Amino acid sequence: MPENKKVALKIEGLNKTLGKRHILHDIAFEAYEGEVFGFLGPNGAGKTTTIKCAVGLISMDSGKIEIEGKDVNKDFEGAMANVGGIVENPEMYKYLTARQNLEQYARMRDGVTPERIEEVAKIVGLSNRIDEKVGKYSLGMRQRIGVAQAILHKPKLLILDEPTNGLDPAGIKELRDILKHLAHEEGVCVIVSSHLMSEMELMCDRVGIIANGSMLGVYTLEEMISSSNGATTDYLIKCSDVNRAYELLENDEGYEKKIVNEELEIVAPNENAHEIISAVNRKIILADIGLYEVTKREKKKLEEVFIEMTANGGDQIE
Amino acid sequence: MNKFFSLVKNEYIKILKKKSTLFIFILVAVFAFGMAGLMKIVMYFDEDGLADVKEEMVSYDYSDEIATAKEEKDEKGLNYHTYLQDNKINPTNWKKPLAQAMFGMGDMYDTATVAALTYDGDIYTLYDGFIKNSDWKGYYEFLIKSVGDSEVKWGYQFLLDHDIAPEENSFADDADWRNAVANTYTENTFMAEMAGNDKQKQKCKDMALTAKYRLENDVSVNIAGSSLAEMESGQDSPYESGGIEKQTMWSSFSTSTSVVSFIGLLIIVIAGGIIASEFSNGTIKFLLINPRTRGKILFAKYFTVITIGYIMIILCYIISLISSVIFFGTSDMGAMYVQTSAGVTKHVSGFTYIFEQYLLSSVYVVVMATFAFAISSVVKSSSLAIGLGIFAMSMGENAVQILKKAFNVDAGRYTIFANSNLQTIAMGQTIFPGQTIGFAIAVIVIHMAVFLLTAWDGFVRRDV
Repeated sequence: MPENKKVALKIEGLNKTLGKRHILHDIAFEAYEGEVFGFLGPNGAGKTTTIKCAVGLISMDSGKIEIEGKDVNKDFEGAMANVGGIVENPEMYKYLTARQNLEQYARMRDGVTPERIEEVAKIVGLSNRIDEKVGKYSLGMRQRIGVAQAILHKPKLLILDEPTNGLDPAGIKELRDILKHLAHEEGVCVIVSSHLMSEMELMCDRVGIIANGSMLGVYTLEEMISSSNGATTDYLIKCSDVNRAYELLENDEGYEKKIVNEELEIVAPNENAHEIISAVNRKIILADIGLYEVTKREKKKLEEVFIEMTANGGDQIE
Repeated sequence: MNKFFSLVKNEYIKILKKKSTLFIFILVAVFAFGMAGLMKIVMYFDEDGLADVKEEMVSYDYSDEIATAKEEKDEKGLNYHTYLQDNKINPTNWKKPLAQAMFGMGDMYDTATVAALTYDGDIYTLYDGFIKNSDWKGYYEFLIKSVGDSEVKWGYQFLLDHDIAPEENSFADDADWRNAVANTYTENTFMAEMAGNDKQKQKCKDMALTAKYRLENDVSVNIAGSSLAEMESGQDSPYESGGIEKQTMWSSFSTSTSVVSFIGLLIIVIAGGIIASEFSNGTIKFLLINPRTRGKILFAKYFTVITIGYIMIILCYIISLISSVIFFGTSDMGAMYVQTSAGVTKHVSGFTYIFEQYLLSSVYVVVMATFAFAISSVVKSSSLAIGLGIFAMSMGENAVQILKKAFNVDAGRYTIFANSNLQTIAMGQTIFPGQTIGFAIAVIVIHMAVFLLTAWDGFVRRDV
């Protein structure tokens, strides 16, 4: 999808060593305005290190990072004017109220009005507690104020490191909706890092997979799903007489059938799977066999694909 | 610039919203205010003793001296003391030196006795006439004649010109300060002319010049020598013959400069925490991902530490002034600092002088705060930074002194500890001989540069 889109974050040939350990090997990817980009990898793969390099928290050995076309190393202030983010835990000044915390960040960025602070508090659902001291906040509440400070100045690039940490399921859903809204309606490039594929597939348009400090690739969600499914669809059929049903279908062409655990398994090519399964159903019913259940068997989940992809990365770093 | 001051505003809010810093401010205020009260209490007890002395002097009874003289068959002493008793001349009376000269009891430093030597007639009759008639004008004119071309005569002429009668009782509360100061002038001028060595001569001349300045410019209270640092350095207040030093607001206001070192401790606490606490709270990452370079953030933090220090110093100055006025009243507001050294008279208003003292002692505070700031930046631990800062501030100077005295280590003269206390160096009271203000400033500049570069390196180039 993204060829005609504007590049929000561009990382090229990023290398980083800490002591003797080579933590990042030639990381390179691009993320675009208007998409939610999942940055996926197991713990210690180098996600946070990459993000820290991108926002200038740590230096890089080699490589180039551009945010909205501005080099982080050469024009730090210009680049950072377009970035909002949470890196690791959202720690705030505990003895200040949420509003005072947000005011701190407002003063360090340009063009944030008091109304914008109210607006942002409303977006993340903090309005009624904005004048409480942050020290009293739960982790979930702190995560919200972290998001609030990140989007305060309407950045074109929003980087969130493990943002669902500490959020309850309702909070996760809310956050997901906020991020999708920002990306798809307001054209923000949202980069979310996570080690959970299940979380990513619910909100990301594309995912970049990193393991052991190297990029394994960047995929759209559709690409991920089709790579996990293959060319055929499996159905499982429960009925009153499995053997008779099998005999009934034995001579049909164009699909495979077998009995597995007292169930009939049908493996049909994707392109005409629906026609085949409806024909099979009809035959069973017309033969007066009791049809209890027809289910589509889930093949590998995205999670499994992800684990497979990253497993050959082998040893973990950090 | 606006961006920079936004950063500074952020730092101020972060510091002032902390309960601990608020407590620090209150502590400084209470301390500054309490100094004058403490001074008042101390002086109250001193005053008690003084009142007795005054009482005794005013109605001095020479019966004991007379009895002793009788016993020892000391006819001269007997006549002298009887004369004093009969004419009610207490020991602080201007007539006493005259009586001494009449009976040959004075010494060669005594103007009345020295003047008598130049008189051809009967000195007894002459002085007796001055005493009986309280003819101080005649006495002064006689003195002027007797000293010839000497500078001394200026003092008597001044008193004559301004019609200032000498005191029958110099210890009285309403004694005219000008008598005491004029005495200081004449005695020191006289002694300068008599003095054998040049150093002594210069010292007396300087004191006379100071006295002359005060008389010419109507400076009733001179606060030179009254600040704590000067007292400790053994620099006496200019010798004033006769009279008792008045207790004024300046007595407490000028000692308030000692509060500055207390402020130093508190500034170290702030400087030691301002960077380290961002790390320990985890807020550093959120601070650094803003469109402001680290250099600007660091500078804003340093600027905040230093300005808070000076705000505290100014607050302390104002509070001390107010409390001094509350406890000691507003008389003598026009007091000045008049001090002559090598013939050059420095004179500034008391307010200016004390402010100068505050600023001079603030240099030490700034240096130590910068040290704690640098440590805070490098080790990311506020407790270590504060601990080292306070240790250096309180022990550094002592350590250098001990090394010098016990092991004769001279290298200490190049350390910051021997050079950052500009207040004492300005007064010439240095740990090592031959230290100058210029050298001290050079050492301070070098150390500050090293501290700031260390802080810069620790903060700007660090992976967070």
